[in-house]
Amino acid sequence: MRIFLCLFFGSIFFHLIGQSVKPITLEELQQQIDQVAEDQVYVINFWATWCKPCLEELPYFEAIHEKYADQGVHVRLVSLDFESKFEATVIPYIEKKGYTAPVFWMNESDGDKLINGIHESWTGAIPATYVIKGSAYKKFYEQAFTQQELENIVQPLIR
Amino acid sequence: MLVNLLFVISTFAQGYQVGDQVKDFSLKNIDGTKKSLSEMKAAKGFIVVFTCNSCPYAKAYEQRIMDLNKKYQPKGYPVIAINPNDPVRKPEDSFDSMQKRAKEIGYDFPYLFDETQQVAKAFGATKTPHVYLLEKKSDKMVVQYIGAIDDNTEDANKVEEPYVGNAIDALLAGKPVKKKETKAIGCTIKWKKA
Repeated sequence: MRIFLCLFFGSIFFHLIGQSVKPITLEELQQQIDQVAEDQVYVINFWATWCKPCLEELPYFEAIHEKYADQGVHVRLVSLDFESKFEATVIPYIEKKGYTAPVFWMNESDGDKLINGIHESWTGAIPATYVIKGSAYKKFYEQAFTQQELENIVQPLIR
Repeated sequence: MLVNLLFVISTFAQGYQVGDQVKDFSLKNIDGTKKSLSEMKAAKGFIVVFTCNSCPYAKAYEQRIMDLNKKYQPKGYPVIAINPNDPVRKPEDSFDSMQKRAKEIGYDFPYLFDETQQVAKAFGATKTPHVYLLEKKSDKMVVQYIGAIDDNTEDANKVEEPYVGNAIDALLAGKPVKKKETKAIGCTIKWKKA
């Protein structure tokens, strides 16, 4: 029994840690953006632990994830923190907050390549959010959102 | 009226592009004096950097901004640093804090306070740090490069392309700037709340 509990909690623990934050390359993210199925919605939020307005709106993205994940809405929280902050700051922050939306750390140090590789209208300020539905609907927002604003963007896109 | 208003908004949103002529400005320096571009007659141009005390990306570049001035001020391209942030929203970016920070790290170039944010709006700066390289052509100031300082914010030792340095080197050699525009992650300028 004890061994079983150990294995049980151990696996939960492993699962949580394993899920917390994954590195992602620009190419991998571009691939996700290019391959969104026609009836699926991607909400990709670019944030960083040093960016206060970003942290303020993360709960709204988490709420969208919890509310609409089973209706084809995929929230992706992409951290643009420095490499040195990935393990020291980003992972502990996400674990403390307990967010369940998938979180990634952007493994690309060349800002010019990254920003141009995501969207031509992005000047590089964050928070920024890219909303994609299928292959035709692509909208980039270089701004912070209120919960209602985000809701107003996502809701009409749900199938 | 509406058309006028829209025009003003779109001008603000756009700001200067490469090749545009820059209007002179006068802002308060950390030494208490007013500084304008036109009074610095010996300069061949300017490295205008919108920066601040509070943004981690701006902080990552403090030393490199000082190095740029050290290298290029003697060649005619001094750094003009401008803090555009509203200190009501970011107390760390108040005029007093600017004076303190500049003293701590030893800024030896103007560090100006854009209190009304009109200069940042005229330039079209959106974040810190955000560089505009200006070249003097007879009595005109022309934008020659807009963007990042280099291609690695986190680690100066891993820089492969020092964008600003390359642009100035080209101008000094009488050649066209190859990379005229780059983008970089930065902190959004803290605009005054209406």
